[in-house]
Amino acid sequence: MSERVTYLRLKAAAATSYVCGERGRIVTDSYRSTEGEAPVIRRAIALRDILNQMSIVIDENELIVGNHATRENAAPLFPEFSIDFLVNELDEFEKRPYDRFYVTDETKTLIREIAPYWRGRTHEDRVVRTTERMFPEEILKGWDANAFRLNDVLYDGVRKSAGDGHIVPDYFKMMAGGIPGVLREAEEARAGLNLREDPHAFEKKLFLDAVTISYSAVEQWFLRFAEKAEEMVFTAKKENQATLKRAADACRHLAGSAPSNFFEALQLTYFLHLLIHIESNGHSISLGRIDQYLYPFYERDVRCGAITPETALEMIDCFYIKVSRFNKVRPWPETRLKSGAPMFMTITLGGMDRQGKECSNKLTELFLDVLKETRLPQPTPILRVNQDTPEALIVHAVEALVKHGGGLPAFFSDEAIIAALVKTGVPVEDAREYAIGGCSEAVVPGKSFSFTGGDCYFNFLKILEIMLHEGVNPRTGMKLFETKKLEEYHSIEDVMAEFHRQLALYMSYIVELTAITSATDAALNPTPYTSGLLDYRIEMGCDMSMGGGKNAPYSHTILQGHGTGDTCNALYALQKLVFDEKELTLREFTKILDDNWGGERGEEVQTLARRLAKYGNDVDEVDAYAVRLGNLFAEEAQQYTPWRGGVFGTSLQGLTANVPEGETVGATPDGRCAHEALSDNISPHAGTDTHGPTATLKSVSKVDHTRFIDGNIVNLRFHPSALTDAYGRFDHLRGTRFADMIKSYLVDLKGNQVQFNILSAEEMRLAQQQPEAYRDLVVKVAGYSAYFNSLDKGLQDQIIERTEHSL
Amino acid sequence: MRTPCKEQTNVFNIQKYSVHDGPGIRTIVFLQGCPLRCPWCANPEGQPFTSVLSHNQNLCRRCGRCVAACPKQAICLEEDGIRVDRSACDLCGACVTACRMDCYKVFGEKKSVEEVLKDVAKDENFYFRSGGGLTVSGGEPLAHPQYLLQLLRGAKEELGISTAIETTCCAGEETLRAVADYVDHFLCDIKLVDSGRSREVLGVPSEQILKNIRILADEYPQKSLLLRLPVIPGYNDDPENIAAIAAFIRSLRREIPLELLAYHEFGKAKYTNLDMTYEPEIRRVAAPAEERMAELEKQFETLGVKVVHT
Repeated sequence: MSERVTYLRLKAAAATSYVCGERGRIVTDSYRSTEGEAPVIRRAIALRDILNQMSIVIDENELIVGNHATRENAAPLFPEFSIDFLVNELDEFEKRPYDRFYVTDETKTLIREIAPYWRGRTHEDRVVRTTERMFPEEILKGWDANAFRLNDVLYDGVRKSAGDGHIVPDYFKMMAGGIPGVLREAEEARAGLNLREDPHAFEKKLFLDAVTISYSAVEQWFLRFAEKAEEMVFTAKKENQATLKRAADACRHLAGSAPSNFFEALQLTYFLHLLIHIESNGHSISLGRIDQYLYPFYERDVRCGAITPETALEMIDCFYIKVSRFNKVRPWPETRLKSGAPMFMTITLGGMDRQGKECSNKLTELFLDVLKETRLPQPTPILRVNQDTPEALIVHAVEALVKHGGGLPAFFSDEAIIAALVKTGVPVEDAREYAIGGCSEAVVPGKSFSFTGGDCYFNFLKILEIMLHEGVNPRTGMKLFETKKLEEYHSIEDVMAEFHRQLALYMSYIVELTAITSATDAALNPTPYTSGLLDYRIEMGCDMSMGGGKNAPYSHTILQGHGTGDTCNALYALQKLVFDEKELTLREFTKILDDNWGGERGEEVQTLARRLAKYGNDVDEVDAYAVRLGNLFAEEAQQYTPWRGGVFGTSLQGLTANVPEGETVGATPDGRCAHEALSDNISPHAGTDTHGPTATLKSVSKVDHTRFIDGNIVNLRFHPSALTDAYGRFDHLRGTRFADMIKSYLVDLKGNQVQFNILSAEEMRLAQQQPEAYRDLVVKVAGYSAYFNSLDKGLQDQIIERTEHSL
Repeated sequence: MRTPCKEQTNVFNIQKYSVHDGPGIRTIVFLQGCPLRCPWCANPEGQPFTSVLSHNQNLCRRCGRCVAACPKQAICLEEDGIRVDRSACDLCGACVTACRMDCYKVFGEKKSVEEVLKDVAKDENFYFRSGGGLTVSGGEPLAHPQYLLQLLRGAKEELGISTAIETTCCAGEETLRAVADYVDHFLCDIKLVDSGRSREVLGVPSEQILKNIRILADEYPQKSLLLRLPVIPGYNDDPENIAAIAAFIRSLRREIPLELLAYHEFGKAKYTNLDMTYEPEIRRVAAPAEERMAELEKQFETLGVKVVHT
């Protein structure tokens, strides 16, 4: 690792999070000046004003330049999305137990000054009010408007205050044509408009004008970086002068042309990615198949001797560090669901090409090698695996995983994911081009957006708990829907049937919730810049937030099911203890759960429940419930079409919601105590998978993963000794076995994805005791990694409790 | 068609995703019972031929439920914790059920060949992908000749997977020959060459062990054979034993690789739970340092033995 990279990495790890007011100030001024304009034009002008006025910050040691805010690691403001939480939490940000933000007095004053303008005009205001208008009276009584939660079962708070995401731009197009290419595209589309014959031509013209405004502003912005870097050359240290000059030349070149070499291509990739985060405040903005679209540049430059793999690696190191610097301030309730400040930016590596041929290359390896050196929590590289993926490449990735230590890369199955996309109507050639859009969502770059759209979360275990209380949510005393009386259940099949009925009832409200957020986006927050990065939007002449059209078959609106493992165990426990062995009745069982395993038989029944076979140990009888749960969820979701077209993209992943969601659920029949964390993602409940990693993977593979385009995440934790020799060095032979296990799961068993923490419990406990000494310890949390120190204590504990596989 | 196998024997563990007892990803089936008594044995629960009760004092919160539950009054609560009178215990398992903290565990459960094969078959995808399969260990697998034979034959003929046994080679030579056709990989311990020392430390003489190794090396040239020496400081790492092992290996008709396994004390806690004495602790045996292992490796190589790491 070069001195430059060491310096930049340390600087990154040590940076404190701030809230940066600059974007908030500019966007407020801009909106004030464009009252009455069409929303899409207002958005374009706002972006133009931001790019023209924002501070340009360059560290002379950087190779790749670009900044999101005025200082490192600061989160810009997006008042057009939400203002209330910023004002309400203004004095709380720096007191948070984790994901803390500092706010200067100046920024505080600014936020208070701009707040009155935004109140009543934000995305959030519209979403909240529309929701209250849409829901019938009897549903509203179970609706927690503040948390955006229906009876603790459904949650939709994420899109209340944030922009859209799960987007992978068409980087191939951008590498070929650059910024001028998009401007040309818009110009040509505009020339083809016939305002007299096409009734929608005027809307199209507005959109195309907005694209032109945005991309012209981008060109000017690149020039501002060129000028700044040129200016700095004179005062910079001698060893930095050449690299600053190179950055300046690249920025100037990119303002008027497509990239001509590897360095420019990398700089353009970063700029394009950064701009999406300036235009709007979504998350899960991903970098697509970077080893593919950058490869022609790399290959040419290496061939002509302009770069070597080593110099390219330094550039990529710097690129990773730059990408890792994005930050976002979220309302506290949402922060709890995704602690560790993740942006979910994924880099997709390897996999097959459009014809089905494995296409990994030297860049695939280099992008993996970065992990060993930088050990950053994000961006998140993932490796696509299929039958023809070279074993050596998987071992290479496993070695990176061991040296990174914090769960990167994750591994995804071409077999399962391509089949899943094809099932939703995506042509197979396009399906083979998939990239991961966030945690685990399969996206066709430039074509689909697996919209954060709804991003509704569904708590399975809560449904069961409410059923055991005959329709009453024991936490709130609220009864929303009728359920059967406990005496009416005569077999576990009766329980399953009622569970299905309840799940279907809640599902029907998801359609409305997601329509509200999507329609609000279309009305208030078009993103003409981001739309220009996609394939069809310019040709269609309408903003991506409108959905529909040629994009429809590629679109999915994410829908997550939480608590799969626990619900599966709980159903099995009911089957065994109540119906098969008749240890106790459902009513007696519920009473014991209400006492949180207290009372006369509490401890005994809990012991019985705990000792039953559990999901994650390759026991068919238990796993069958996970399979059925997955099928019910997918089938019910498929009955509906989301507002933007396409399908609901079902996913058994859960971010860090398992901790706060667990808090809302009392004791459950699987032996779990009240308010304990739920099982994470599609993983077994922490510590209950005791038959080794292959048994866990077998259990998980029984779920039909081709029904879940938005991914089913399974977390496994290994003690480092499982992959190192007695003296702590990477053991190639063990690495090969590990690679075989991964390949077997993804290719033979057609699992969706798998990810690992290679960390011992001792090390994590030490990090809890001495956080200062473990500032750069990274762990895999859910679909993302984060600094261990930045996590909620409950979540830290839950990660420590996950079963540690060793040998 | 083979006759359906009703044979049962005590299995005390089935361990999946094992990656260093034979090639690929393997499942290890541990059969209970061993003629040897190696003082450092990492699986003391595998030594007796019958089930054995283990009690983990560390988890115990002294509630006394097990005392009340035991129909033989074999458990009592004393000042320093639970005491089990093993001579009175008939392994009925009442304490296991009664305990809320999972302190008790009975090691060794009668399992049929069919049952074990069914479990082993669950990981077949992983075996095929990695070239792995079944490894039978113990205890001493050769101490269960009929059962072992049927298990290995089932793995070969029904599942079509690779087979290995991890053995002390302490068995009659006809037993060894009977199973040899169904074993792809032999992982044989070699601990002490001098028969007197062997009897003194392991409880058995070394002649038959060495003879069996020689049979495998000389008469089954197509079988993969790996010798493994657990390096236990003070027990078997003296220059005489090293030289004797090297001389023995060199006297074999083909080159047989040797793997050195450094002593570790992972088995220690099990001794306490079984009320057994852990001799290496009394003799203060420490795990050998990396340098010491490298030195031994060099010694063997100087003596003409090929040392491998798996």
